[in-house]
Amino acid sequence: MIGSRAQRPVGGAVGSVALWVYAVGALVPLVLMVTSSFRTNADLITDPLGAPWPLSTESYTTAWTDGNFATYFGNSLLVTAGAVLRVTAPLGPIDYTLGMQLSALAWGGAFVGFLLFYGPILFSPRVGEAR
Amino acid sequence: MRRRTAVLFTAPALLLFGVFVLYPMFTAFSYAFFEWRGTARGGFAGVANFDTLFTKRPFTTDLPRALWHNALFFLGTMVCQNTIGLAIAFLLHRRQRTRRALQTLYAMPYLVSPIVIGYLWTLLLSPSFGPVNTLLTKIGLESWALPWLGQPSTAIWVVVLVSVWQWIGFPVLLYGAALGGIPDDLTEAARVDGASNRQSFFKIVLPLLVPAIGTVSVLTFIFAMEAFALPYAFGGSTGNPAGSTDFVSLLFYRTAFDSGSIDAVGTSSALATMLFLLIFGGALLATMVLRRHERRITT
Repeated sequence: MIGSRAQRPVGGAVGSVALWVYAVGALVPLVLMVTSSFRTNADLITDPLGAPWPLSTESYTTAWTDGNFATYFGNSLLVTAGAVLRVTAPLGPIDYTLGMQLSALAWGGAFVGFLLFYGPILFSPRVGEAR
Repeated sequence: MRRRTAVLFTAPALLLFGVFVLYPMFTAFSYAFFEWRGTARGGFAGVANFDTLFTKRPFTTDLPRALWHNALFFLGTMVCQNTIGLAIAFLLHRRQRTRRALQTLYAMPYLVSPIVIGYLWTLLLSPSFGPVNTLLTKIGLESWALPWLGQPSTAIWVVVLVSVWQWIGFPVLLYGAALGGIPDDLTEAARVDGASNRQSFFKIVLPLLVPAIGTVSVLTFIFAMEAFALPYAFGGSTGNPAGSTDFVSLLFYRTAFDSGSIDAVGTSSALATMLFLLIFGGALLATMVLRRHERRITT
């Protein structure tokens, strides 16, 4: 019986309630974002928490036409595809080599690892823009 | 592995790393040591640009304040991630049926851009039509319906808490993986020996989580020192209200793009260099201390 007791989740029912309450907290603002997107401005100001009924797709039309959504989405797609390619393509070979030659690289292995792991995120993208 | 193969395999990654990380980094470093007239580089300036950061306005007032806000932001997010995040991960641990679903829910805000999150919370916290204050008033807590983002005393904490809310899924995932790596035998053996749940958590689980706590803290440090998008979405480039949500990255942005000052390139590069050294030094030091600690608990 000892074995089965060890597998029991921590916190029991109280823990479950706490976890679901937090999940609601994580989700409600996002749900409000979505419901608000289907309501008109005037409607939002008079009743911020009201239901998105009747559905108004006016905001989506505005975002698509006045906001040039298609162009910007295309730009984002291009940048994302490029970034994924640039990060993943060269990493396979270098990981393989580093794994095979780890002893040879032991002298600076830790530092190289540190640079490769933290390097790109250490440097704020804003700094690059300054050029 | 042949030498030529090794070179061939490492070259693409090192080349890209050099072109996109090292080259811009060292260029920015070098810019900090020259005089600038607009975008034209003048003579070697030594540490004059760094001197500006400590002697001239607005840096004498804005830089210490921005650094202080970065520090508060780091402390706030770190404390919350290492308590709330760890608590959630610990509660989720061993809940086979609901763990995946809940983890996904916690990670949802992470999928929305910080700029959008900032805008969304500005609307939610709006004193005139924000749902948060409407709700507080409805349940009788009218005295709590404050202009959260309008007063300096609360604005910075809104940034901290919203940031924690957005990124909490990350420590939950990391701690979840670390908890999964702790063999059940250990806690079970402790219980057989008469340890209470509390003892088994503080004497066995927590010490084994130190590497994960270290990783989360170092990444939080880097993240907090570079904070830009969320504070920008909340307070614009000047850290409204009254500079109470100003951060070093925002000061950098103002110096580089908004100041219109003739030596903006040099001063902003000096600021960027200082920020980089601060983050690099902090992260390196913390990693070294952690490595030593890890070696002690694994051997």
